[in-house]
Amino acid sequence: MAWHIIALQQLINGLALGSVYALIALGYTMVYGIIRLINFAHGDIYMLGAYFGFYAITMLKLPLVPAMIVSMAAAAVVGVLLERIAYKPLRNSSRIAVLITAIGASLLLQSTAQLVFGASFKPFPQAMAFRRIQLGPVFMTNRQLLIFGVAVLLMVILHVIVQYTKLGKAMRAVSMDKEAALLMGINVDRIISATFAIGSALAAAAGILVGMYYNRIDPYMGMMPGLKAFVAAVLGGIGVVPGAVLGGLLMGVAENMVVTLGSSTLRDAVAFAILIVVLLFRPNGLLGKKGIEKV
Amino acid sequence: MSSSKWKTMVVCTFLVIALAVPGFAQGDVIKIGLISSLTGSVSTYGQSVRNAVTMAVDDINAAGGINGRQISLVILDDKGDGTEAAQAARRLIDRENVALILGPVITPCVMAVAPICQAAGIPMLTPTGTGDQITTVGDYIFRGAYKDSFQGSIMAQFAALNLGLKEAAIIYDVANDYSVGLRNAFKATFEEFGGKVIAEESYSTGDTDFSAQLTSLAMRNPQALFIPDYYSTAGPILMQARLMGMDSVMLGVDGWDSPDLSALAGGFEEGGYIVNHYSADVDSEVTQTFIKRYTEKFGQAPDALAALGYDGVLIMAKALEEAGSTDPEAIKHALGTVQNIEAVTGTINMDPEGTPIKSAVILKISGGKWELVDQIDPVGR
Repeated sequence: MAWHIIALQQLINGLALGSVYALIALGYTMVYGIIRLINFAHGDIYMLGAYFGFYAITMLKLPLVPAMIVSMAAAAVVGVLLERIAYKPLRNSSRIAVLITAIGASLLLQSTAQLVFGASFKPFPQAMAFRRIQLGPVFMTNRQLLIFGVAVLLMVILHVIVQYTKLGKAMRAVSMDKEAALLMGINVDRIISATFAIGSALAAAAGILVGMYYNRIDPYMGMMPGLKAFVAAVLGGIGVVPGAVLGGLLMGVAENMVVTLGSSTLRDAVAFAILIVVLLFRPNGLLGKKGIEKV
Repeated sequence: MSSSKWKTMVVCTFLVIALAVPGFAQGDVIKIGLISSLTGSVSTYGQSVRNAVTMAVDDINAAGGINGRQISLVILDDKGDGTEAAQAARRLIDRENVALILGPVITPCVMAVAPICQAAGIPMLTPTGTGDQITTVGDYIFRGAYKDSFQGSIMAQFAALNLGLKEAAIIYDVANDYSVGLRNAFKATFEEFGGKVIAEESYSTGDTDFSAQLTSLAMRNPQALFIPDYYSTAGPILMQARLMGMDSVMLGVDGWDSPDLSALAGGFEEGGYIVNHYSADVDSEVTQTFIKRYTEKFGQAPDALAALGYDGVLIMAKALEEAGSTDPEAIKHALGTVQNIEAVTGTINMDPEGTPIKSAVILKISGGKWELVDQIDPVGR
């Protein structure tokens, strides 16, 4: 088969994978934008989202969409609690202290998940039929379409919240200057909580979509996608919302193209090679603002 | 000296003797360690092995033990992880003073434990490890299963001769010795029989997205796809491959045998072929009795891992009986020479290198069940 068709098919696969990275990357970037913290536990919220969805479908017998909403709500609660318990007391400490706490929180969530849900790989309940959608010479599965569709929908909702609501305005204000926002009568604590809630809900949605797509979940599933989404956020410019989407999609497509062009073993290496190259030439990311920022 | 002091001294003396002489302290039992993957990515293997091993040990103890001595089993979980397996082996050797270690279950864990047992001079018998390199670690290392080079070439031979396939593609895990070994054996034998491996793709342990690799493979439209990996990875690959529209014949290995395969593959494993250690359809009394008792006791039919676990204990028991003591040297010698064990997976004769000589079966998944297609003897291999 012709090269361009293979490339087109890999582009479709890449966009589906990339929208998952983008959904996770949004959480990283929003939290970073508000409190300048790389929340390393974010990948584990994504994992918890997949498990919440699993139990919503198997135990509560919910259909896919309500299960997704329940899981997003539950993950939002976990995200807010995490911030309140682990990060808030350290808000005025050095940034390295908070960063280490985030890594600790990540390990805590993984181990707790292993204890509660078991360490075995779980098959995800298949809440929808398998279908292939032919688009000329290439095709998409209905799961890829679902991932892509839900990701775009959630990103549009997020965009509306950030740009056109009072909450979004407050979030942008806190991101620009926390003290000034406080003086203007904005409840900074509440805005930070809202940011964690929204970011965690997006990650949970990604977790369920991935569970459906790959049909397998486990307590450590958040590690690699979490790291790659972090790279995606840095690639797009950390703290910049459209940057996370761009970075995620680019990462997904790049990984798939590497497999097409050469070796499938180089796939993970490429993700991190991109990070190094971006940091060398555009330390603020593709859509990042100028200015020195220590991470 | 008062009489109470005398009593104290006598008691102390006995205590010292009791502690100094191991046989005195543990009573007359033979302590055996089992390292199994009870949790983690291959947990169904480990649970099957543990179930079957405990059942077999209970049987032996109920029948009066080995040479009149009861077996006491210490079970540790390696979570399917080499580092955990090595720690478990250290604990069994240093603290539990076991006479022999059964397990671990999967090749990567076995390869972490084997050098430790060899160095400590404690015999190790993995009932299930298939990696070729396992028994080359040393003379204290034994297994109860066939080798991957045998398994991989049996599948290639079956694909080329029985199924008449000319072209095949392979997708395998570059980070796992088991998967790589099987890929090498399959490729060599398939080409020896005139077939051609037209495309190969690889991934790393823990990957979940195979769409890029499978897209490349699907474009070549191979007659068959060989997937040498454990059920937890083979399942999602099978599903993703079928959804890509691949209609190739799916070829697998013993790693596919798990009650969880069907759920992980979304039912798309139907029609696939695997090489396995045993078939429930074999008309042997030992096999059928085992299946009946196991099913009654654990509420599900035994898979090949359970059968191998049970056979592992049979090999161990015969060797311990012939050794007549728990002297490692004697056990080692007996393990390499025991013959004619009527076991669940067939008649077992150990070869001095540490691998049993026995046949393999080809199974087909048909209507959600494993059906016996062919039985292949290890003649000339």
